[in-house]
Amino acid sequence: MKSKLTKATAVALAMTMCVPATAFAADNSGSFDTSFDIYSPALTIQVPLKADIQVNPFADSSATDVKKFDVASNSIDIWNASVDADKDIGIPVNATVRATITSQADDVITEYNTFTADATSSQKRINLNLSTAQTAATIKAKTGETLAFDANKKLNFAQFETNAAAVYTTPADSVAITKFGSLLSVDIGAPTTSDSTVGAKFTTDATKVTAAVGSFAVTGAANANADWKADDVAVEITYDIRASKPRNIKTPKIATAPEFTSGTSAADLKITVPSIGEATVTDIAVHNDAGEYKDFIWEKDAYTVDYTTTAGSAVITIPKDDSGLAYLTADGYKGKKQDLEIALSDGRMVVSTLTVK
Amino acid sequence: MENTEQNKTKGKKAVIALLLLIIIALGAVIFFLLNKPEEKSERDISEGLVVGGDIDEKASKARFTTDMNMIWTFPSGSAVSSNAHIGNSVSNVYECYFEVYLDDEEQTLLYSSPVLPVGKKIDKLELNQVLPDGSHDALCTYHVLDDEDPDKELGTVSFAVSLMVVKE
Repeated sequence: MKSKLTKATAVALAMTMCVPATAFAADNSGSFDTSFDIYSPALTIQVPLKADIQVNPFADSSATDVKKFDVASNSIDIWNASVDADKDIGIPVNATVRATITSQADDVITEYNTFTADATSSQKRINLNLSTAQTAATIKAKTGETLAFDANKKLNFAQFETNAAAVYTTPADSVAITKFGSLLSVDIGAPTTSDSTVGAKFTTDATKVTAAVGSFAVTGAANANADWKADDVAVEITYDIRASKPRNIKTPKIATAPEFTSGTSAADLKITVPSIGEATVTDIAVHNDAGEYKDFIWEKDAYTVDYTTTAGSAVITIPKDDSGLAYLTADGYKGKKQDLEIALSDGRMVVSTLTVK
Repeated sequence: MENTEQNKTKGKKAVIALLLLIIIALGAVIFFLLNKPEEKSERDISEGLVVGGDIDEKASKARFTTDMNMIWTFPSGSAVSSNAHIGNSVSNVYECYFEVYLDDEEQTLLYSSPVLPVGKKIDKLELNQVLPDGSHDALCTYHVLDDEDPDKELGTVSFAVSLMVVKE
């Protein structure tokens, strides 16, 4: 099950349009050509090369950085020095980060909802998320560096280093990483300048230009004292970075985890996904690595989706006699929460739990 | 006597036949080795867990700066982009090369660059196939090379790009 993000930005059009002439008493009409194009400036973005995801047996819940988590990567700080020199403006960007669990060992149990880690357990149980920092990192010039633009009149990031680390006390946003993907949107402001040189505020004095930073990390819970191996879990992370004003994209959270009561008084299962926006539901699945079924994806004709009755939401209806729901009434599953994933057409992955009683 | 001569002749013929077989077999092996289809390189940008503090410090500290635009346009019927801007930023420390894959089920490789020294840009981006008109999602994956061992990669980083094939 793979969802594709439908580009919210306009499809590029490069076309010529003739405006029909209107006849006047004195014939002074004419026509002109117009064209459309996409603004695609060169972006100057710096990212770390590695996301070192480590299980941390010494996680400290009072820490303000990534060390507070049982499992976390380094803070992935995205530095933005993108400037349009012709227009003499800084360029804000949006980074849409996608992460997918691409492989896991047979004895690893991935959870898509958080759980309370057991420090005494040898079971390899792990929950991974993409989390936006509460406060992004800041950067400064390295000691001894005389800041100067590079040959392209851009800040030379080789002259900079982290000043203050990102804060993750309460992440601004967090989405579960699943084997079917996940999406986290990080809005990063434009670089700023204190230079007032007309027409060249960003390209005259490098000491007066400040890059902007956005920060996120892979975080989560894990039974830290299990015998973890380097190839137990592999995660693929890709960036989709575009010149953009803030997009404020959030993955919907289902307020009340769905429950289905089986039996003679059963009613159809209805799941409401809020803040759907323009997206549609593409797939629904349940996940349980500890169970025999591992992953069950509903066939598209096994459910219906209503986008109109509740404005801004998608209401999914699974009939009460659905075979997937019937399967979950079996011993070992009945009454127990299963990870529920709802994939949206724009790449967002809604995660909750489903309990069949 | 005559039998001995006949036996010797038969023996020589057998040896010659055996040698011919060996030569033909060797020829077949050589032909196969020279024409072996190239193995499709797997595009693996996944990262595993770091265990026991076993971090590659050099790679861990490395950062990569883009000097690229994210939307590349191509005239209809052409594999050459009219606006692609991509290279190895002067802010970088290491050489790199990049690959462009169509973001589809097959992960079709569209372009593989030469190794780029720091500060070097690509003059012309020409895909290895002409794409149909329309918008295509692709992934540009940079492979950053270790300056002490050019056969070793420090790591990879991928960016989504849009390929727009339009009529002009």
